[in-house]
Amino acid sequence: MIWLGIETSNSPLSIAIVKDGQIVEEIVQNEKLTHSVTVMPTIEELFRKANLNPADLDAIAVSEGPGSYTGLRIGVTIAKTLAWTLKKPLVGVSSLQVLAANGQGFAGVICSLFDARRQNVYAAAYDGETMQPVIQDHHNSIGGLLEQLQLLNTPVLFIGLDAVNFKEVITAQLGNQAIFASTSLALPRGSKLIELAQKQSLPSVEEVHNFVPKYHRITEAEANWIKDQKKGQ
Amino acid sequence: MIFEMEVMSLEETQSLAHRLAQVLEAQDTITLEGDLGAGKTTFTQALAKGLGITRTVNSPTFTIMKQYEGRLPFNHLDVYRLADSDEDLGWEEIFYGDAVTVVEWAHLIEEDLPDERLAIEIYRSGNDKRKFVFKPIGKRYEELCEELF
Repeated sequence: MIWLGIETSNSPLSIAIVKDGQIVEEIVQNEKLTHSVTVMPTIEELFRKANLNPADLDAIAVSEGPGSYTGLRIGVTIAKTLAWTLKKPLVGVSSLQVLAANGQGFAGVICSLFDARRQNVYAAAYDGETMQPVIQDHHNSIGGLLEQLQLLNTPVLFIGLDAVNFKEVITAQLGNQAIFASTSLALPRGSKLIELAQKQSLPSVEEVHNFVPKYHRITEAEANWIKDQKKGQ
Repeated sequence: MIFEMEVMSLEETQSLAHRLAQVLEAQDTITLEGDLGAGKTTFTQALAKGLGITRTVNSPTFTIMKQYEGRLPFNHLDVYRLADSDEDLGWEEIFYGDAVTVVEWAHLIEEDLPDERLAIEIYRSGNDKRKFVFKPIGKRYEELCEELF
């Protein structure tokens, strides 16, 4: 069983090829280059190095969000196009779960987060051992997230490049409860994405058409309410 | 507070855009309004040049947004095609990242724009004659205009 994993949900890029549960190729990078010009050449390069053809693939995994709108659209579009043209199933995995998986084994809760700007975050929390979600993927103010985490009353491992943006406020609110993961764990990995995707049942190839990124932005009803409030000012 | 400037030539328009580019910072948002042929594109091209962008800057009407790299990243949006749509293009990422953003037809996404911004209106008063009206919204943009005029 050969998997291709595509992770472009935020500025880092990771592509992996995993064969029968073993990593064959993996690239993890954090360059200030746009995914639109790097993803396809990277995939081609990995196939060439692994001496594989795209047709050899059995399934494709993609990080489905939340994260950067542009990053998600590029990753999901490429994954859908490859899946449909090669007639392979496409599996989506939460980008927060992929990142959190870097901390697996932590005795406590792992909180992965992405900066959603203006003191907001996309975040989730997982049990460090079972990796079951304790707080589901959602969009929240950093303050709102920290209140939820505080109530868990257990050590929290913060993971991700953006965690440092909030280090001060996290430490102020959680004190010793907060632990920051080493920077070598801050980048999501395509191999982790595939590992998580393998736990899901494979959808039919036709389902590729219904695949959309999960932005986890506020609901349309909320957005309209906010707009109405603004108009009324 | 409103700032107005009459320019008599293409070169003066470009010089105004260049001077504006020098004082822009990350997260600055500029809205551009003006009739067809008023010079929104010309102004934006000169602004981009002032930001050190060497790639050709052309209309994002079809793509809605084009992104460029210069002294600062630069987002050029034409939201004409978003009329009557509530589509969320990831506005937070666009306006509150590390880029400078210019939005054409900005009134169509009024509710999604940052509360503070620099509104620029361009009026054509002759062949190469233009009137620029700068309406700063917020302290940051008032100071920016005072520095410019």
